[in-house]
Amino acid sequence: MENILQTQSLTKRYGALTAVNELNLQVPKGSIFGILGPNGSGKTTTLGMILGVTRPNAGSFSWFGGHHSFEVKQKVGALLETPNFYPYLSAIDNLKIIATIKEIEHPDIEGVLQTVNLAQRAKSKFKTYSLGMKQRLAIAAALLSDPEVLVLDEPTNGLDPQGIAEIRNMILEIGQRDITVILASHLLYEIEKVCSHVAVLRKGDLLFQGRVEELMGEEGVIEVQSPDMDRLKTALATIQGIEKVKEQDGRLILTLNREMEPSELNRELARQEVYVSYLNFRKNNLEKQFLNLIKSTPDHETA
Amino acid sequence: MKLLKIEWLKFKGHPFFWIGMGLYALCMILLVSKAGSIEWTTQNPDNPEGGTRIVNFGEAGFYKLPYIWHNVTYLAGYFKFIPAFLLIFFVSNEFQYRTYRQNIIDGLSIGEFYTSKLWSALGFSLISVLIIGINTWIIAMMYNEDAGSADYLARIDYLLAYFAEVLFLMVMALFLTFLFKRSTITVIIILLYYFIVEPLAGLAIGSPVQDYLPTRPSREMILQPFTRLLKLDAIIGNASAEGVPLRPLLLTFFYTLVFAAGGWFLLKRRDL
Repeated sequence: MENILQTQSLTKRYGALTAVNELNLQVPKGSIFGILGPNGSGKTTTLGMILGVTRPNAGSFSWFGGHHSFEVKQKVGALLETPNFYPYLSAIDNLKIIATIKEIEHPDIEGVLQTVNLAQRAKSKFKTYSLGMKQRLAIAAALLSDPEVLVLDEPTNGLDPQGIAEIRNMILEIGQRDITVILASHLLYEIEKVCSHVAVLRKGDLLFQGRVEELMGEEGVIEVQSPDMDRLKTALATIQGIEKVKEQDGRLILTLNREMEPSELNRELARQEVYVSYLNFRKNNLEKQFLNLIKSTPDHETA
Repeated sequence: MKLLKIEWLKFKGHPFFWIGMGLYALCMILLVSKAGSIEWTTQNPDNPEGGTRIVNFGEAGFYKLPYIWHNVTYLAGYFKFIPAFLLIFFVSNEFQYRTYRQNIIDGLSIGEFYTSKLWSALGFSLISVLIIGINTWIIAMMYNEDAGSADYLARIDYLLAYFAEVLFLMVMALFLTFLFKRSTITVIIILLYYFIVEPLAGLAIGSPVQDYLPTRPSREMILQPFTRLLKLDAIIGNASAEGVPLRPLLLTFFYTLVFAAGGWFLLKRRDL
């Protein structure tokens, strides 16, 4: 699959501290790509580098296979840390500045404000907005240039449960539109809810990169493909130990809830006269302790 | 044009911009129109031993061409801090609100952001010259009915000197704002430096080195016009300037470039 963003050994040091250590990321086109890690794991530093505001000490990155040019910035809508706007200006005037910077000739300011449900307050000054509204305006701003990629840094941080739900639904809806979303979060729960892919960072090191299902499956995941996918699905429904089945890129991703050897699955499918053209097993190799650290329930989210 | 438009959108939405510019224009208008009624107690030039007399600026020829340009731009120099403070306020906001970083994320390069601020500095300087220039021209017409256009243009180099003086302060303010990122500290530093640190340092160092300190040339372009106005030159043995001296003018432009380069250097090597 085509990658819209690729980093090669991207490294940032602050004095003795290595904030990001030789990071290699591949963000597939069309994915909702989560960057997961506790505070201080290097998420924002990574985003800062790929957005061109933090200078890497080593390594490189490429957008759409090329340099980080003005054309790339036009195609990428991004929000880093907090929503940053001119507090004394209205939503409309703030978006006008962004449209001028991005050289958008006929910006659909009304449209993006409607998308994020801010049309009613379009003329209010930014400083009168609640945090949730500020976050939504940031998403509106990122959508203004009709981007191919949306980069969001902790977009639900500090929001109340209703605000969190709104933002998440918005991200999912945007993901449907053929926009690639890169989302940094310290909440496994959040990544699980909205992302298709995830990279896990700890103290600047990449621990894991892949599909969310692979991260979630306690006993690992199996990817299968068959010339007759419908029969494959029917057969899988009868097999014990499969917690979840998800279709992606013509393959089925099985999340397991008990130990299962690939041969066992293969045997069972063959017994039902379903033959696979692809079978791949991936054991969950993440340290459980770390997972527990970043695992959280919705109750803890506002922390 | 794009950069100017962005700056304009940032300025026009803030009441401080309109209040500041309104105040600046008002000060200039009052300055030019009221300076003529200032009265000053001085020695009597007609009779040096004969005590003092009261001189009215207007009657003494404050508005007479071509000296009006010199008289007016000298006094206006004190008000150049109004646009400088506005610029410091708006540029430090970009750091406080992190909109500088957001501008870069959204598509500006660091060079474009920097250039947009230089445009603002230039814009304030041009507006300053326009305000004082139009004001002076109008009042000069009222007081010099028999003057020809050559009389108006005779000492118009003071307008250029005023432009250089304001632009220098703007670019210096820009540099200090890039350095400190906060408006309060920048305002305090620029006032302390301009009015206390450099003059004292100049006294300590003495000539000729003090003539080459950064802000000194910008003050030496337009020297005080009062000793001529009050006809005291002969008494105290002073020779009032006939036009803007070239060396301070060139030095001012030089230091403007130095601060502009310094500002660029600061932005370029820092993470956002």
